[in-house]
Amino acid sequence: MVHLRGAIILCAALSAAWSLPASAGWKLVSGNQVARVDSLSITPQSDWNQGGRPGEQGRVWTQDGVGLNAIEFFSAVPQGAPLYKERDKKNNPMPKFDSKLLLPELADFFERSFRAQNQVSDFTILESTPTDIGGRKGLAVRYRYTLPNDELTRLGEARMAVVEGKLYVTNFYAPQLHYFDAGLPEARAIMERTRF
Amino acid sequence: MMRRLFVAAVLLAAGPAIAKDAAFDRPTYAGAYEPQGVDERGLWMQFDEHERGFRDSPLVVRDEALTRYVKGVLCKAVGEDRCDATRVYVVQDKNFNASMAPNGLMIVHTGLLARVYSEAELATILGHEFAHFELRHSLNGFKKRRGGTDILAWLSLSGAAFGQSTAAAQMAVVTGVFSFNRDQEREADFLSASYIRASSYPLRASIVWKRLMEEEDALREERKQRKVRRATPGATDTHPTDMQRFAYFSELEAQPSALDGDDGAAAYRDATARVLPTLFDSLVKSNEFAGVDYVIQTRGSTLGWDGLLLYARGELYRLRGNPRDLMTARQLYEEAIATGTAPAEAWRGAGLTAIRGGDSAAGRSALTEYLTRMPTASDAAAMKILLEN
Ligand SMILES: [Zn+2]
Repeated sequence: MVHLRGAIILCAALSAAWSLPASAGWKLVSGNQVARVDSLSITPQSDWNQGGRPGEQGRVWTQDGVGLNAIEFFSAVPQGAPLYKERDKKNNPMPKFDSKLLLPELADFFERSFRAQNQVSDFTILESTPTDIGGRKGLAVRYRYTLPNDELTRLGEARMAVVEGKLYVTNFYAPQLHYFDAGLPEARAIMERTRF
Repeated sequence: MMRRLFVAAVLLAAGPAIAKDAAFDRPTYAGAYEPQGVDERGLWMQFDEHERGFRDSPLVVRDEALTRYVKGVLCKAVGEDRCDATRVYVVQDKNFNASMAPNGLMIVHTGLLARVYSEAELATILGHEFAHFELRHSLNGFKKRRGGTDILAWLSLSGAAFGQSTAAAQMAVVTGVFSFNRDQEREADFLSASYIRASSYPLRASIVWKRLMEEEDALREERKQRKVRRATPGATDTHPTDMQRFAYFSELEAQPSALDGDDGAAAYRDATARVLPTLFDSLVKSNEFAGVDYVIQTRGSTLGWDGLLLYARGELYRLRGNPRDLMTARQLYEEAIATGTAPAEAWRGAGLTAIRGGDSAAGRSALTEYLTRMPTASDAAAMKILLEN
């Protein structure tokens, strides 16, 4: 029953994501080629679709629609800027990045940004561990969340680092049902091969 | 007996909606109640279906003791005979709200439990939702709207139109479609007040609406938005304004003996103290600093400060992170620790704010204590990196 239900909403999310591509400017990113996303060089293994900007310094990629799998890339978010774009600054202002945050606090900032962006009340950090990002000290955050009015458990894995006072984040998220595990290996490979 | 008679009298006075239809002689809450007529049967079927999916939602807070407690307050408020017909679910949602489906499914947000400070206060809100159920507001609204269309076809169409098919989403669609009108909201408020008058609780409703106004004011001031304080609702408002509710509840509370009885504040504090993180986390981590600080301070001044509440306020300040906030946060963590009831995370906060403030020795020792108390913390490895540097 849960699966059937899941399948239905996944289709709904899919069609919502795909009804826009032409106007929203979705662009094919070919596998095994170096793609430039702002100041990042990314080498995916398979084909992706690049969509709009979730943040001033962000880009989103998806294979099956953002409700099913997505990777966000944020590069060089400056001091005082939000991670995600201000869409309703008056009623839902985004938290602002502070370059003085300590390494473990990057997870707190990411969590608050993600909660505000997605209007999420249910969000749990499963693990937040140090990691190496292109030779720099960073943080890998695994998390679980639920969207409002949705019954799917969703998972995410983000990596973040501060380089010369600016924040870099790559963030993969997908429903736990099938899509997260299916997409994680390539998402991790992309994160590991990302160069500033 | 006196009590129940009193409620019955109020119900009769509440309006023709219930009295006029012979098919609806039996109340919705009656034991083994079978929905009456094609509309009500259809509605109940739909909602039973929704509820089967909803039960498994990760948003439902799986805390039997808490759920049982909330249901107990509902039962004391509306009477055992009535409350038997309901199933209560506590749902993780930072907003002040509760809702009830026409089949007896009641949803109570964590954000509501964070913003009331006695059983009597909670009872007025639960009573309001129950009143919609008893007065069959959904069904009446539905009948008026649907015209000749078949209910099931109509419901599935409305779901499809929103492109959502999960039970919770349909529930949102349906409750949206059934959003009650202002008269019904008022009617539910008054019936709720009469349940409370017939119960052992004092009527404590106006204070809830007053605090909601103050919270909104605090948040709007922080966001440099102008104050809203309408004496009368705008054209599109579905509810009486908070001000109106404050006013008519104040009047009801001024009636003789309305305030008699134990409000259950101590019991409420004891029942919710254990679950403060569940109630406050999503508030603290939202970006509504002034509103949330108002809520935390109100709970503190009403029910007393304990380690978990002081810690929550510390987190609120640390996460906003203005330079002075970090000092305030550090002090709050230390106060939390001094109570002897602080969670291990209070040492995390104390350590981080100490280091940020340049007191690296104190910071390290607090973080070491955090890891001693919680060696399997989700961020233990990241903390060790901080300690190594
Ligand atoms: Zn209502």
